Amino acid sequence: MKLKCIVIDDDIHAINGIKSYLNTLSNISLYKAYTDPLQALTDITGGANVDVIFMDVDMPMISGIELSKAIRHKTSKLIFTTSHSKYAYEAFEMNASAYLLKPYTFARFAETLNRLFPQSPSLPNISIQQEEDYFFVRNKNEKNSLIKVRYSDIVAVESLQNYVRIYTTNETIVTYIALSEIKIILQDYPNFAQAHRSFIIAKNHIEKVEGNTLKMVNNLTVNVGNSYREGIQEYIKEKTIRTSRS
Amino acid sequence: MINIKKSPPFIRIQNWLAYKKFHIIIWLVFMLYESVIVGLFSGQFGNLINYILFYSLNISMFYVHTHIILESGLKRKNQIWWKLPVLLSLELLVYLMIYIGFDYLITDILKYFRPRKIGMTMQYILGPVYRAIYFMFFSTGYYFLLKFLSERKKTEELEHQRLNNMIQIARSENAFLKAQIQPHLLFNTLDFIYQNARDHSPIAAETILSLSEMMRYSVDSNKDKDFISLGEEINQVENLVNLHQLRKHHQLQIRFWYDDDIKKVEIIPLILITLVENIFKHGNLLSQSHPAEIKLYLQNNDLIIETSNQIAKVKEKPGFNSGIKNITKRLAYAYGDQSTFESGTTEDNYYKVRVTIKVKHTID
Repeated sequence: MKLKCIVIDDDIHAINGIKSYLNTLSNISLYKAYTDPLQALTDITGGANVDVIFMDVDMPMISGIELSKAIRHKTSKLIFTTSHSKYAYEAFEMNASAYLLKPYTFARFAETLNRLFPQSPSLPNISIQQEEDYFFVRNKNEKNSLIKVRYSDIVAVESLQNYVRIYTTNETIVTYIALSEIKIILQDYPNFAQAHRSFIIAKNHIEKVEGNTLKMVNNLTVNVGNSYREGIQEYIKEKTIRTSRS
Repeated sequence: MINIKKSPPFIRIQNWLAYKKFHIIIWLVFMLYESVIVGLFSGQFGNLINYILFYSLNISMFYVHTHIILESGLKRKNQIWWKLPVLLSLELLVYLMIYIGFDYLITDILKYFRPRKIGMTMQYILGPVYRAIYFMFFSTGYYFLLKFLSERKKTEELEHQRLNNMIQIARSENAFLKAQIQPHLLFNTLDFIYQNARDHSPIAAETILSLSEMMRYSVDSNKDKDFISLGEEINQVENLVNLHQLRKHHQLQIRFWYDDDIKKVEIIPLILITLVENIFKHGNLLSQSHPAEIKLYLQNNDLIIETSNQIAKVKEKPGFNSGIKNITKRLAYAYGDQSTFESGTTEDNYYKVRVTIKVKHTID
């Protein structure tokens, strides 16, 4: 079941922004969008319940606060989208489940939804043929030309906010994709593991282990984060030859 | 009869106060008036010395009465009851003595004819006593007028100050309102640009996002706060790194190592971000084998901040030390010996900083 959502914002560009974010998510669909808050008020109070309403706070005719009181019972979650400062926002937080401060990233948008609906996590729509042993990405540094990346060549992937830097055995590629998205692509390959909040590494390319630091084949050093330590150490233990001699 | 007519017009008294020369003019007019009236009334005029002596005595007493007798007599409320009568009788006594002295001077030495006989008779004494009280009366009026005017000036000044304060408050309230309204417009506009740029220029859009997050931080952050969560500062650093990466086509080699649980640690603001700004200013971030690194970790209840970067070949830019000095000063001020700061250059041309801070509080 897809989540049903309504968007209310007097700015059409803000609605378009949310629409395009919604399109990238697989588990949510736009039910209706309103630029007129009064129209929204009549429609929603007389309509069916929805899962989530995104609503601007600062609108003409009726304030977001008043509107939220009137329609709060028709939606399971209410998310304010506002450019107000977070302190101004906190004053009227009681009606809302969450807030997004404009302008906000897709990542924050998805994260907020995931937090409110943990039972149906919204995953980005990434369609990729998993049978192949390679994929194509746009290389930002070569005028976004498509470049082939073999899974077996990947040494590590570094997060650069909304970009990642993919280190392969013979080059590095910067491409516009989030680490969380790459993680989904790589999740079926047990050779890849997250070593740090900003690094995914290929286990078979670990060259050296020094305490909490991994040295990769291309001289890249990666520190292992606290929460990822166990998985990495287990792998290393498995691969470590132990002698029974003592 | 004479007394009533003589009281100088109010407007004139005001002018007197405004200009010293009016004192003289008024006195001259008064003397002329009095001598003419008396002269016409009694049919004879005194000679010049007579006038000069007695008028200077009267005028002197006028000012002495105002500025010395009343000033000191009325100074302390609880002393008025004895001080004022004593001073007044003393004043009267001195006046009488001088008056009699002058009389002797005129009749005996200058041989000027006086109709009255000098002697300690009631008739003789009453004349100067009348004169003295007559001038004391005027002088007292003058004294209270002075008081009244200075009080009025004081209240006017107070009123003026109050008005100034109100203007100041209105101004600062206005500035406050500006600070309230403008961010709203600013972020709405940034959002508008972001939404419009997103499809055609994702890089521009992302730059706007990072920029607006940094601006939001400086608009929202409570600058009076002594401590902030490290998470806020980390966010700022990530936005700063992102802005630089976007501008340098993601070629910068800079690694930021930390674990999420460190975000709860509280720290004084602007330590971490200043260190990172230093890296961008002075570090060589283009060598893949020599990445700059920022490390945050906890060790035995100490927060450790380590930065390391290869020094750019260019000559040291100015302002390098001021940032570091500022950090050490603020650390010393906020933590005293609970913090340490070490920095230095290694043989392989790395600049390294290590800050340790005893963790006081964490937020939940």
